[in-house]
Amino acid sequence: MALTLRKQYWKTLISLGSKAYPLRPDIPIRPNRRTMDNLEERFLATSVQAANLTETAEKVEDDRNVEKVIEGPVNELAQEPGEFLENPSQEAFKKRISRQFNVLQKWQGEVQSVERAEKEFVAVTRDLEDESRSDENVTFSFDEVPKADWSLILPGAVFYWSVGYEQDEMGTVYGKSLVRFRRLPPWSDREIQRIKEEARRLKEYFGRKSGESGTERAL
Amino acid sequence: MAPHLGGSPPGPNELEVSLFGPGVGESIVLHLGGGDWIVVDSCRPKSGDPPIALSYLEALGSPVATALKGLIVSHWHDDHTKGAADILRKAVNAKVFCSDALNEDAFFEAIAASENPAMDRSGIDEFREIFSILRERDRGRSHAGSVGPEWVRANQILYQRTEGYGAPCEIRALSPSSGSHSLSLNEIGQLIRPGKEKRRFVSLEPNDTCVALLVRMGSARILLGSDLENGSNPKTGWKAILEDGLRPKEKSHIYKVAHHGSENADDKRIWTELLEQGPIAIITTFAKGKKPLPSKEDLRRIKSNGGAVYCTPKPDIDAWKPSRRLGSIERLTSRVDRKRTRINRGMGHLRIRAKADETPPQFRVEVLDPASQL
Amino acid sequence: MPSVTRTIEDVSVALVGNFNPAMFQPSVLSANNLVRPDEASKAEIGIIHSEACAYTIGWLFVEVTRERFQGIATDIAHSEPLRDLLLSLFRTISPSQIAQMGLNHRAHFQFEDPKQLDGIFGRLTPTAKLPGLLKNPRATRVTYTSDHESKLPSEFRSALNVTIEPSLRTIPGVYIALNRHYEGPQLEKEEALPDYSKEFLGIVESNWSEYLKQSRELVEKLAGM
Repeated sequence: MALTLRKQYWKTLISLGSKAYPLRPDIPIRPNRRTMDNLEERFLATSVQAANLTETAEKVEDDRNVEKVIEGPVNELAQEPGEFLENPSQEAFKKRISRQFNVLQKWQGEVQSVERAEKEFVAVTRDLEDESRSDENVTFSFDEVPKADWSLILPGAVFYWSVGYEQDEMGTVYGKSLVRFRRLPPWSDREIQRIKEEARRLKEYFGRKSGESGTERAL
Repeated sequence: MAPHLGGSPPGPNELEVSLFGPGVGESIVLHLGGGDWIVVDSCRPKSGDPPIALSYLEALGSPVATALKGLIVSHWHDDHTKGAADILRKAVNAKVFCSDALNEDAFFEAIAASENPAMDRSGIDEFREIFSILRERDRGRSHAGSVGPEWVRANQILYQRTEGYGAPCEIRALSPSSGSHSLSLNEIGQLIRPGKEKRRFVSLEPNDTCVALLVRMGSARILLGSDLENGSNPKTGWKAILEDGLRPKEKSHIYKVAHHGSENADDKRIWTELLEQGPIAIITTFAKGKKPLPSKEDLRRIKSNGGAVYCTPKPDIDAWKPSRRLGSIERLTSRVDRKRTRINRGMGHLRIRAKADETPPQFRVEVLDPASQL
Repeated sequence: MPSVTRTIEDVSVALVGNFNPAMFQPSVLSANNLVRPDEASKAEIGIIHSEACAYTIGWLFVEVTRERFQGIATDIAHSEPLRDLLLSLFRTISPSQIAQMGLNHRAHFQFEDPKQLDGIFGRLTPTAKLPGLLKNPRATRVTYTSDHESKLPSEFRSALNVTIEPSLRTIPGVYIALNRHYEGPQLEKEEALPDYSKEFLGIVESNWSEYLKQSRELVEKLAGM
């Protein structure tokens, strides 16, 4: 899938060689942090040079040359207003995804109580496929949750639970259960300030006014 | 099939208390004579359905816009608030009542925060909608804030009628006590801090500040316990009510058992000082979480006080196995879930009526499955 | 009847607007708790630059330029995490102008019998009406555009596009792609970029699950034709 970068940067990318390829879906790139830092610095430093280059005879002729280097089908995102933002084409992920998780059922859960000593939590789960089904109480083990998410297991926390079958590259099929806790940005200062201002307005409007005993206004 | 009992509406001098419960959720609909209705708390048969109180009143042919006089939201938990805003939208003349213990910065901050999609379905988002409706109604009035909500404290009278329709009638709050402070709001306040993760409000502290009510019509008296529990502070919860010298001394015939029958919401003195001998006890279940309520022990304890005990729906956990799915899904989930139970068990309805001028009152109880007498 | 089995599925979002690619790199996501730190550190980087950013983190593929954003969840299990990520990115981390949006769902289906492929195209595009014009005509790709009702104001345009073609991943099989396309009215000044981020993110927030469910049902019915 090609990126529609400005032409002046393509020349720079090409000149930087293989380390600076833009996205090749079928070739995962794992640059280390230093490489990336260097790349960015060089990129920025040469951007002016690249701009100059485009004015010389060595300019990139047309997008077809660029795509030959980048390889991969053209991004099908709409170019002009009025065209549709369509799905990326099938080929884009031809080799990307080696394991496929075929989901049979999904729930959204909310933690009700946590027993850390027993490494268990109880949650209310809601069927995301069929709303007419009743919510259910389900007891989970911490082992069903990635360890990096254990700190998120708190009363009121929301998670998504999916079950199904996964097939690996060799064709072996595994039963799979996936619990993923919802992650949201923490409360920011700006959000808290907005909340406090709104709360102040609500209290001013609806709060009990001083001097009211509370017995004057029966029905 | 309708999720409520049918039949004709109560007579003009007839008291009715209807309790609805689908597994998680509770709503009480009161008829106080003369076509005047009050709703205490709200729930839906299932997600997306209209609130059960609305469906029931409309099925009885009651003109909700004029007949529904009050909506009492006894506390903020979502099993007592779902659909409350929808009721208020139709009940254009109804006053809204909620606990004075919520009249705190933390509560208003929670409402403001509930606008964030991460906070939805917490119960507080229902309050946000309620406030929005009230604000809409307030536009064009002479002074701001004139449409409520009413902040309720112990011994406050929410509804009163001194004559007509067979008997005088009154709804009085028994809690929260003056100076009550909601510990669960403290919890919420701790969640809304810079750098803290966004998650829904799930209260872990005992609920000692919700609105318990005493309903009187003629000689009939009903104690509605909401979710009131006993906290560590003896000046709150049931302890505060029992020690309150100002509370009415009459005993009630019907008791909506507090907090789904949990031990923490029970006190022997409730049964001896606030209730007649052998009262009618009506309970809703709470089927969420590790320890669904009422437990078998809770039921044994409640039954030991004598009197008929009804529950909506039936509390027997073993009866509520989840419905079966495709074999492959069952096999995959059985490997993961250590225990699975169904939460929504269908809407049960308990309806109790009595003529206001009968002394002693002769209560007639009707039951719609899955509610049942225990 | 020969079987039809769904094998591969993904969901994606494509946006046209004005973006800052550097704000979408893995380290920014990790710093804002949107992905796990170990996921971000193992990201397969295509490019990270002020003009373009492209990488893969396990289930997530992101590609951003100044004018375009694309996010793909490579399986259905991660469709809700993708939605959450989008809302967090564009409401909190890097609010951006968004002029157009495409919500996409793709699925590959495996056929038991290769003749099923000819059968499906034969039913979708009957070629009996081309006698004498083409020798042995067979359709190999079909695209439909249909109306799509959204909750956007009437001046917005939305359409549902369906593409059906033989699958390159599961052979014999069929590939079906659904695209829900949204765009708003053009501004009077042609060079100015309209911003409908509020409306489009509202759709992502409110209708994501419903649309995904409808898409899955629709592609299932089409594949079974």
